Amino acid sequence: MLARYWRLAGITGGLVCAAGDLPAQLLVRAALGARYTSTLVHDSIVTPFDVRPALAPALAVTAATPVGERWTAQATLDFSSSTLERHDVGGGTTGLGRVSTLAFTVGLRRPLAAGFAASLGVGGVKYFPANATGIFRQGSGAIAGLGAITVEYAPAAGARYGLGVQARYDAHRFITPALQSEGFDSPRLVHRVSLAVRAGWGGGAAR
Amino acid sequence: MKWAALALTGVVAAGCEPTVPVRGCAGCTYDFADTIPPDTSLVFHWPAARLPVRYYADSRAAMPALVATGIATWNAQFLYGEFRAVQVADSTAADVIVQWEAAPPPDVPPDTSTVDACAGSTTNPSVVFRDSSARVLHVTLGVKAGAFTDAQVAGCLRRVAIHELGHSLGLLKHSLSRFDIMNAVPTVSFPSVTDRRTVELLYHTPPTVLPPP
Repeated sequence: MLARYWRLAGITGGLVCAAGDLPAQLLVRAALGARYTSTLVHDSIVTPFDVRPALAPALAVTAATPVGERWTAQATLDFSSSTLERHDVGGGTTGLGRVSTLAFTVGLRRPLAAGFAASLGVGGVKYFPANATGIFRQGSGAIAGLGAITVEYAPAAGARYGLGVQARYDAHRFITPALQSEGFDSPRLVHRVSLAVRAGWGGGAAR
Repeated sequence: MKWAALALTGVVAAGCEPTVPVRGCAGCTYDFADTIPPDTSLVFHWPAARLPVRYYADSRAAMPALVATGIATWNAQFLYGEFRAVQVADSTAADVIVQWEAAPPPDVPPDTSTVDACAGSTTNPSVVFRDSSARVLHVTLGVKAGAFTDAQVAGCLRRVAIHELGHSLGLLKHSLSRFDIMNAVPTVSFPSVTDRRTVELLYHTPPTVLPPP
């Protein structure tokens, strides 16, 4: 599993480095930040408890190209990884092993006033547990549909390198085959929020 | 941004809270606690701070494989990290030692019969950790006297090893159902849903007996 992370990091790094000679119409942005994920599973055995990932580092790489005066079409690959935790009602926390997510979205971005921009995307997210145990003992299930909204702010001072900050919200539904076997009758809506700093390369990176 | 707000509303509205599985139903679990009349209930399970529980297997014949199967079987019963066991090569570093009662039987592939050709025993954690200074549980497996084939014995030992490891987890009582691995004479090859629900409930019940730190 670790090798997979390094491979992904290598691909990401390669994409970013290759962006140095991008065509004028292609823009690549990389964003690095932190992600909060809401509860994946709420259950009750004697007492209630929640299962959710810990605060995770998040890396996103976006390729974009203009499709009109003010719109940009973009595709984003987003990766995050952290420890899955069980939070008991009494305050106890138990680590359940590492879990990573890889999300792919396609969408549209539009600049707003005063250095702000907003984008909307749809795609899918897949969970990659480090071990096939617990709620992932029968696998992580199919790719889940995902919707994402991102708001960015790029100050004029950082225009040369496309520097900016961005807040991303996305939502998807989560269930695994093991949870279905346990008796969960439907997926749970999971919210994720990430805050990141970004840099851009290529045409229009500053915007 | 009206389109974005509408899309967000749709995503949020699509998410209904899933129903938590029903676990408190009659017959979904069996009794796991030892009792001392009139009203003392002895509940034992390994606390989170003692995980993973370390099992040492007698190195002779099929014992390492039997214990590995037992550990993998019980590890797989838990959804939320309540229990985890590992096999260790050093008996002095073990929490549970699994040995042959006498000379080990031949290591042959098990058959599919349910013949009661073997026996097992486990020192009771609620006694060992409550009434003595012992730090280790002992599990023994052996062959019953009788005209049994080696394959029948091997099949029986596989079931009984899982059963005895169940006792070492804290399932101190036997199930009355023959469909459960924790029945007094196990005839099934794996824990049933009832076994799983019971051990799950046990590991969310506050223990009254704890192993030494």
